[in-house]
Amino acid sequence: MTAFLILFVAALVVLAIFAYAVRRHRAQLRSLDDFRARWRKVDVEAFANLVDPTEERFLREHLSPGEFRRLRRQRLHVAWEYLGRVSQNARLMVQAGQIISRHNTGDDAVRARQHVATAIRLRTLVLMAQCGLVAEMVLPWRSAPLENVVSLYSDAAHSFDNVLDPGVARLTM
Amino acid sequence: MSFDPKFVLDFTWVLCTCLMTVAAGLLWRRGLHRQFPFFFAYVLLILVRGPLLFLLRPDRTLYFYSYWIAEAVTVGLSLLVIYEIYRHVLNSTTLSISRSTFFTLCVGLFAVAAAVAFLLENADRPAMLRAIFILTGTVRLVQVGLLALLLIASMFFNFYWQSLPFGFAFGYGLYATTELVASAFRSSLGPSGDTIFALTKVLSYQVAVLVWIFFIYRHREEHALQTLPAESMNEWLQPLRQVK
Repeated sequence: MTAFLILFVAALVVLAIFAYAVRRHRAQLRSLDDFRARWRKVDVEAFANLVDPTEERFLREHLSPGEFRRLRRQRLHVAWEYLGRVSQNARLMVQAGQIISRHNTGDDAVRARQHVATAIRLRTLVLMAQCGLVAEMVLPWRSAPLENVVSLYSDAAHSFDNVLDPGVARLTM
Repeated sequence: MSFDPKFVLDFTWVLCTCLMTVAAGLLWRRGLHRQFPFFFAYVLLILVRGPLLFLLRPDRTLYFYSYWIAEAVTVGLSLLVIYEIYRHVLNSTTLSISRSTFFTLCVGLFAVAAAVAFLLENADRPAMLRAIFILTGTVRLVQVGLLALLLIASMFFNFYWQSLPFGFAFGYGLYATTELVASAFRSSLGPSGDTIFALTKVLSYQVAVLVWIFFIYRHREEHALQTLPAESMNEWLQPLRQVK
């Protein structure tokens, strides 16, 4: 009976994954407005400043330990919010890139696929950065390497820009 | 009026054949058999295997071996269908999956699934029956595992799914998961659970076939809906310019 219960619970989890997948499938990108509505604004310059180690060193040297700890907590929360936005945009770029690649041929399709690869790398990097950030919240002497995320995000945005070069890519959604 | 499981099973078998004929016809008419050759072959196999096995029923030994050979071929083909789904989802990314990668993934999952199926199987059964149940349980676990892995990766990266591969995966996933639970239920109940298992299996298969028909039927409408005027492309750049 125990074995049956274990399998039953596992099957319920799988069914829940299927149900969630159905919901997600119905919420796939359908139009340009859809894409625009879901895109979350990221101030790359502010994000880069936030994760700059020299900035943190400067604050550590010029603030009292109590003030620095409070400010650091705030900075970590803001960094977490930025990572969430970058993650959302990376996921959008994966899907948009896949759609473009599917509906184009030749160089356009190749460029779109390269773009999807960059977005996939970015999404993976964001996950690692989020894990690092959690570790940094729990163990304050650790520091999460977030600079890579910022630079890759900028690259991904550039690459996306090229893929959507007007007059080159035939875009159908 | 009494409930006759045999009548229900025979009725659903005939119904399943009719539904599969509809599915095969729709696939052929819309030219989808070229895009999904393994799925089309799978549907044809299911269509042919039923009547063939029915004709072999009087000879028990011949029927037994034919049934398990047909089952083995069906399992092999169902794995190829899952491979086809993987290919369709991943081919516009750089994560394209080769046959050897898929085979390696299957072997890894088989090892885990076999151990799980062995632990879950009732030890009181005759050895032959036990071996068969462990094998079928393993196969179902692998199928569900492969589909669940792809869905989890899709949720994480937000992969784009065309509706047809999604429908095939959804229908097949529902069927395989329900059958897995039903077989565990049968295993815990013993021989008295056989009827419930058989009924659950055929009914869940009907649902899967209905899901496939629904998605195949809907496939054409989707094309017309999703064309974006070329002059709007410039607008795509707008959100990106905000981030630089």
